[in-house]
Amino acid sequence: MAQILAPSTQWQTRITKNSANARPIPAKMLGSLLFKQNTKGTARSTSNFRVFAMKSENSTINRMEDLLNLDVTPYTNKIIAEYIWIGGSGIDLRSKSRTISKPVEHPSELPKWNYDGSSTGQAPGEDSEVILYPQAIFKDPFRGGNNILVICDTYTPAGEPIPTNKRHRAAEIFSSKKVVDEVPWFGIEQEYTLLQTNVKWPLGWPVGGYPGPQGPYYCAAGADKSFGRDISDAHYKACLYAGINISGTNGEVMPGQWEYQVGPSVGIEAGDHVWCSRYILERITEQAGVVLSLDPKPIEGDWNGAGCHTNYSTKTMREDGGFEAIKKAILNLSLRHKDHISAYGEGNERRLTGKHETANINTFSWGVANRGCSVRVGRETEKQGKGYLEDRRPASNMDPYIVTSLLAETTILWEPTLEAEALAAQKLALKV
Amino acid sequence: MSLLSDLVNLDLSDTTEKIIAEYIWIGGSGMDLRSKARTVSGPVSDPQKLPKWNYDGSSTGQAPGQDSEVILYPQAIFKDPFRRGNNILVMCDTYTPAGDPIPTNKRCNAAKIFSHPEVVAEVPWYGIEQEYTLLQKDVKWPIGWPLGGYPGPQGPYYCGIGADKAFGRDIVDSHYKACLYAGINISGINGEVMPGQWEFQVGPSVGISAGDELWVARYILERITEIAGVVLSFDPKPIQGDWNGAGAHTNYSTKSMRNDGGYEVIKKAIEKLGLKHKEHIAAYGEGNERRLTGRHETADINTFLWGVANRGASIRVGRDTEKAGKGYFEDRRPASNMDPYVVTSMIAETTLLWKP
Repeated sequence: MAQILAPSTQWQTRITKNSANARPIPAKMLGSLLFKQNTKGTARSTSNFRVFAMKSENSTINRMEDLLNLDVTPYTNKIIAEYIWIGGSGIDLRSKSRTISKPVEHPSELPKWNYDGSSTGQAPGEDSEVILYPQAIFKDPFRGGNNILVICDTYTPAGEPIPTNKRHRAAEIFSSKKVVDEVPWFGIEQEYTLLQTNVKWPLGWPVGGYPGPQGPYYCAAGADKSFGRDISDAHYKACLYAGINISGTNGEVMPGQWEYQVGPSVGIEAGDHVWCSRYILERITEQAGVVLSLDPKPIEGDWNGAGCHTNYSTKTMREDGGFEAIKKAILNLSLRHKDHISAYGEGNERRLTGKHETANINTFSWGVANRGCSVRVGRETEKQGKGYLEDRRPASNMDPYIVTSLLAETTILWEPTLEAEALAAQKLALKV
Repeated sequence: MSLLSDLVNLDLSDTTEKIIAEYIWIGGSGMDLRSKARTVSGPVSDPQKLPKWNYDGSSTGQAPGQDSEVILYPQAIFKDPFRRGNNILVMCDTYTPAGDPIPTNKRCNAAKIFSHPEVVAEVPWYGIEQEYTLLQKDVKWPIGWPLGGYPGPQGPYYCGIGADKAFGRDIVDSHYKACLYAGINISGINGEVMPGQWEFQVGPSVGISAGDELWVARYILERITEIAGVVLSFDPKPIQGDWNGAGAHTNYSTKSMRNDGGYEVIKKAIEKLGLKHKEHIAAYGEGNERRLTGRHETADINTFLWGVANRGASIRVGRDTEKAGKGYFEDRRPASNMDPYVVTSMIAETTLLWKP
């Protein structure tokens, strides 16, 4: 669970020219980190971590690793920039790379680019160009050196955001004066499930069957309780290297499910950091030969779903007496429950059942230390009279640009009518 | 095993001045690359300073057995990413002992076109988008595809990530760095629409160097797939049915097109290309008729069509170019197995030298 610490300036790290010392996670190290399961004698799991196309059968040594890890900085000033964008489904990430003549520090130094929108469901074939605007830079943990990852958003050639571009509106909300003044902090807890490649059944689960019931797996260690730790650990370091504000990881209640947290981040950066961390995660699972799922309820039945709890605070909430501001925010959220729920991720109705540490999707509730609520307030916050709140409703496949900006909008910019407010206060037993 | 690794990676620069030069040439099919290595007494940066060499043309379908010597003329030097140090790759073309280019030597004619004063004055730039498919070695089925079956339909794979969507990224990434190391003007890479298919772009390169750079990039790619145990295919339509083909779209501009008012020059050039559609198509790669069907982002092989931002056209002009009134255009007709010497020189010839 995210603890609000003072935001570190880690996210402000820029690429310095002399990062010749910066080494990427070498393919070899990733390979040795990878979990090699011995299936002899156990019918436990047939998952097989293979790095695709790295096997060479007739040569006795493999020289491709040298090339992948080649540090080209002594030979050229050129860097490789991997432009990343969100595709037509709103949850699929796409990327391609280009050579930039020298290292850059700021996204504004990078050229706009374009891609074939007709291949991602974002434009028709006869008018297929979609323009990429660079918005945030991170160091590339796969290529090392001065190479970079670039989070972009997407526009028509005329300069209009295309319908799947949710960042644009979020950036507008986060630049409005009232929101800027409140310095909104976000800590996002991204849960995800790892699946075996050919069968789409969770990692560590016996094919055609189920593991023992939930109980032993949360934060556990051991070959019978923790599946895929290397992916989680490699991801942690890769994100730290990249400059993403990753604050922790843990194994989750359902076996094969994990969580990491990004934050505290201010405003629009929460979205940029979460999307880049998802990109890095899927690149790592690609190498590990395992499928990443952000589905909010991957397995029906007595198994936890996957959420993306969003911790949130404003300047007023963090200062003395902030608890009043927190209660007011919860009140506003209760009056816009349906609007938020519809923006909190596809398929969430399968997850928000009222069981498995969720609140029912049709009810808005809040409580201190209560994991069965829509919004939870920590005991520390209640005791100190200031702090933050945790919105437990978003699903793991939510778009962080939408969720963070909607939270800011509802609690800072939107005002309910007085009657509605009074009624809600009564219902929630809030004296505001 | 570690001794072999140490030996292959030995840095010789401390022990000797000598370097290893890998001479590369195009074989009898016009598409197969061949190479062999020789020791050169010291580091070389000018191809003219390297000795001419020869090889057994009867073993590559390029000469009869009784008169088998084919002469190699070094034309371009690149750093060797496999041997490193001061070792080099040398792109060559092929001649008879009498000094005439053999029939499969397309570079000689291209070099003539590119040294024509009217062409030199226009400084032709090329950006070539090379698509290719990776196949599993023993079954010649694309990598990542289940044996005896097909993956889910196209949609999720273009620029995709994840073990269920991107197959063979390590090959693509090592190729990118190897080319940058070698000094090739590689400008980008991306995953393609068909799973197991990738693309890299080389350019902008001027004149004859576009061809040299693309051929050496292809050589480096096939050496890397050799290491990875995967087969490289430049077939323009590797899998029949609702699967994209592989092309080598060629972006082109001249000085006049890049200057103000260039859009008019572009339109005139496109008109000329339209008048010579059949001749170009014949030179744009074997088997292209299986690929240019009018579907899967191609224009039908018998039709010449151009449009702005239209990926179903023979020639596409970018929105940027239309807006700025100057820039470049993209010839989408060449197949992935085209010869860049032929295509680049033909485009220059038709647009700059030919008067209809």
